[in-house]
Amino acid sequence: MAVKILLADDLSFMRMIQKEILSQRGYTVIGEASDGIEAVQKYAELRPDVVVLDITMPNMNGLEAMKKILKIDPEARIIICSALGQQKLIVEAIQAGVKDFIVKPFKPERMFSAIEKAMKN
Amino acid sequence: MKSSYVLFSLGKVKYALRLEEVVQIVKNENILDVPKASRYVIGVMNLRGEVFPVIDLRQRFGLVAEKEDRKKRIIVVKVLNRTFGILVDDVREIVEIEDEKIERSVSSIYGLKESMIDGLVKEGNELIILLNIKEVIESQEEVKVAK
Amino acid sequence: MAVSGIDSNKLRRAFIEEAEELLEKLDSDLLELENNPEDKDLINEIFRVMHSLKSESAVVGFSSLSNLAHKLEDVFEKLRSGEMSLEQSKMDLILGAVDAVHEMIASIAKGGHGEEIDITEILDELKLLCGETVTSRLESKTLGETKKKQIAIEKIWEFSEFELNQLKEAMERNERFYRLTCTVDPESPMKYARAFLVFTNLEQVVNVIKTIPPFDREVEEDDSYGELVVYLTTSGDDRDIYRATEVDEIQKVELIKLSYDDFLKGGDVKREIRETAEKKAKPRRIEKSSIRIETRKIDELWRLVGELVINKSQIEKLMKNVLSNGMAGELGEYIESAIDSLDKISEGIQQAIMETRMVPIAVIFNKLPRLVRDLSRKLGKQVKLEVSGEETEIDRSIVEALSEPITHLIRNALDHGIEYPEERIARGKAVEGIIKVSAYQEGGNIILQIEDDGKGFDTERIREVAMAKGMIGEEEISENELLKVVFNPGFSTKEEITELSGRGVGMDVVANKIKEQLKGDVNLHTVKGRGTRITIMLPLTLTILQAVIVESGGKYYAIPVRRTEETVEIVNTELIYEAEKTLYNYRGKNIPVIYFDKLLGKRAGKSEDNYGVIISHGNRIACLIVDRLIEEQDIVIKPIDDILNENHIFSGVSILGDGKIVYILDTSTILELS
Repeated sequence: MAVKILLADDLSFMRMIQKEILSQRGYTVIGEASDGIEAVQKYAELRPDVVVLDITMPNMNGLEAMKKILKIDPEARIIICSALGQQKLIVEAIQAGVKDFIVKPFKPERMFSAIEKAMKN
Repeated sequence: MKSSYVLFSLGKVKYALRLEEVVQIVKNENILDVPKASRYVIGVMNLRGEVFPVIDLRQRFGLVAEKEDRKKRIIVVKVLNRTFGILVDDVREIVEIEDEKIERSVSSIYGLKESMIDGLVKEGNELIILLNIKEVIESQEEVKVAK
Repeated sequence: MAVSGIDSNKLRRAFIEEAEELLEKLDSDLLELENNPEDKDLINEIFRVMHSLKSESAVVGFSSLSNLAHKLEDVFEKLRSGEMSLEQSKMDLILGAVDAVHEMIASIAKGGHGEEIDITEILDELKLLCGETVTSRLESKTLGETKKKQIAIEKIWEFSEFELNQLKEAMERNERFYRLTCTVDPESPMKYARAFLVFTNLEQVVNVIKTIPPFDREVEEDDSYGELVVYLTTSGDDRDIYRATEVDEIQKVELIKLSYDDFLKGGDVKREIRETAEKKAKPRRIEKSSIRIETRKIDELWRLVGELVINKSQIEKLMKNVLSNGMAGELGEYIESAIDSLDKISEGIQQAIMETRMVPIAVIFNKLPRLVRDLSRKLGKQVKLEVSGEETEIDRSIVEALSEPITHLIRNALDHGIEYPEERIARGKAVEGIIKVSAYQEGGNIILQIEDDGKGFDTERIREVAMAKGMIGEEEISENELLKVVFNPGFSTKEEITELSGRGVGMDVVANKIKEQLKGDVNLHTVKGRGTRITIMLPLTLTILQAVIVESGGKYYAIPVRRTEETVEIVNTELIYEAEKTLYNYRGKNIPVIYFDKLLGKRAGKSEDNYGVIISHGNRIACLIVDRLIEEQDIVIKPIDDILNENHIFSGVSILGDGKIVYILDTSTILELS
């Protein structure tokens, strides 16, 4: 069964690219969110296998959204997506329980590898 | 290779000092008298807490001391950690001079000994003397620059 | 490993400061050890110093220095355990090796790496001492490579007390002990976070004892996390460990089982050392809590305080004008009290910063035992050094310049003062000569004394030589005056130059340095056959001066208060005119009069009322005539260029509150001119 993925990024362009990459690889993007609040709502609603969460988003940032999602589902597989230079945020995310992270700009393989590793657990 | 120089004049002759030796160029103001010093030291200056002697280059070069002129400038130089003010007629500009344009082997000119000259530059009809300011200050020798 | 990302110059400076601190006590400790070779506390202390030096220099990458310190550590380890005893020949070797350590640090301080100092021989000898076989030079080069690696591994052994306890408990719980090494993709943009993710995952399944690098530092040093070493214990499934490392961008994983014994045994040794070190360090810690500040920063603060003092007096002057003109109105009182507190505060800051510049004179005194030991052995003399007052504090800039003259005077005392044993016996003196060095503070001065019980100066011989050299005339002069010629340039009664105090420098250099550079005074007292005492007087600090401001010929000048006895009002009729000189009767004694304006090459003013400042320096005294006394105030000394000071009657310049430049008089030159 294809892996179901929720994409959360405030830039629709970024979501478009990610969706394109993931679909080509055979993943199913079952939902998109443009801010943290929406990401949490969509997670509760859709229960995806993996969430790819941008760390900087309006309304509720990725870190907060991640914490909320983990409250809903402690087993949630979350991959944080961040820009270079946000190492401190990533460390916080790891402490809060994120499974993996990828750094923008990234090559498609990075994303696949992170998702595959997340799915193993 | 190019280096920057401060171009100034004394009478009709043009001289230049290496920019890296120059700390600042200030107006001919606030020079304080000195109690006892050599002839061409006309006083001391206090610039940001540092007190240093001011040398009248005209007197040093054996030229007639001109009356005080507000157009005159003091070039503050630092050589081997000693600071001096050099009173000159007029500071013209800061120029860049190509190293290969500088004539290094110079014999005495206008009465200036060759040890006091770092080099010569010809710009069209103009002649610029690059001064070895350290030697000018430290040498005990009398200088008499021809007019 | 951890060096990247840190300014390497900063690191070097920090290392040198640290190393110098470590070495400071080492020399005196070593000499003490020579007298008490059994002293376990001392051995432990030296072992600790070597150990720290070894680790620190390895971290900064000075491997040659680290090697040497490591070997010395080995030697002291053997001494500590009683495996080796300390004989004289070993002591000489150890001292030689410590000298090499000093040299290497000096070379590093100059920007080198310590490799410039050849230590192959010393290392070989130390190795032989430890019972190792010494390989030929060619082989030892490759050996050096493996040594380096060993040091790197050993650094990993730096387990803290807490970590060792954790390890012990894990052993008691029968857990397995592993070292896990993970390599992060060198291309990874966030290595720290990658490594941290592995660490976080591991913590959920095993007991993590320690990671190298640790995760308690600034996140910025990313490249140091290219390789993560984790020490862990577990009773669970090994597969959990591998699973925890299944993180993106982790390339290589290596899991090695370790033995508890290796670590806990090493830990016992460490613990013991640490405990003794703590025991030793504790009383000191109670005395003073301290932080380290770069001297450069203190110098900058000191400079700023100088500016503040000037600015403060500027404000005072202005406000005085405002107040006397009644411009301040009702506010006058408030302004006055505000200025009053400004005065107190700036004085307080000045005092406090001056104190931070102060260092105990022990910095110099600590070097003396070694000097005396080496010289007396070389000369075949028996000498005991008695040091007191080493806690006396003195301005750092003075200490730096003082080291050389003091060393020179000690050499003199040993070389020319103290007699050979047979000579001492023949004179009924104790075989062992005594050199006493002491320091104490007296008012605004520091007094230093160097005293020996040797043969003293031969005043007759001094008189002969001085006369032959034309330094004194035929007339009778007091012994005090006579002894002064010893400080004259070119005077030396000992014809042949000895290796020790020779080299063409003599008492004149000492005197010159103390008088000119340190603005102090030096005094000689000697009794033939009984000994010599040299007294040095120094100001507490060199940059702020209490001065009397005077006016002469319309200009202001400053005279150091500590060189003045009194200021007096003088009526011309009070002066005694003689053929060549003018005298003034000061307290029943006729003293020479110096007209200051004449000194400056100007004609003496004929003003009716003059003022006199009685100046003195050493035994010279004179009355300096000026036009007016202005006030007494603190001034900041600034250097004066020689071109402005051709006859050296000034020692510097200063800027007063109103921006006026004043020249500071050099009273010693002025008195000599009189």
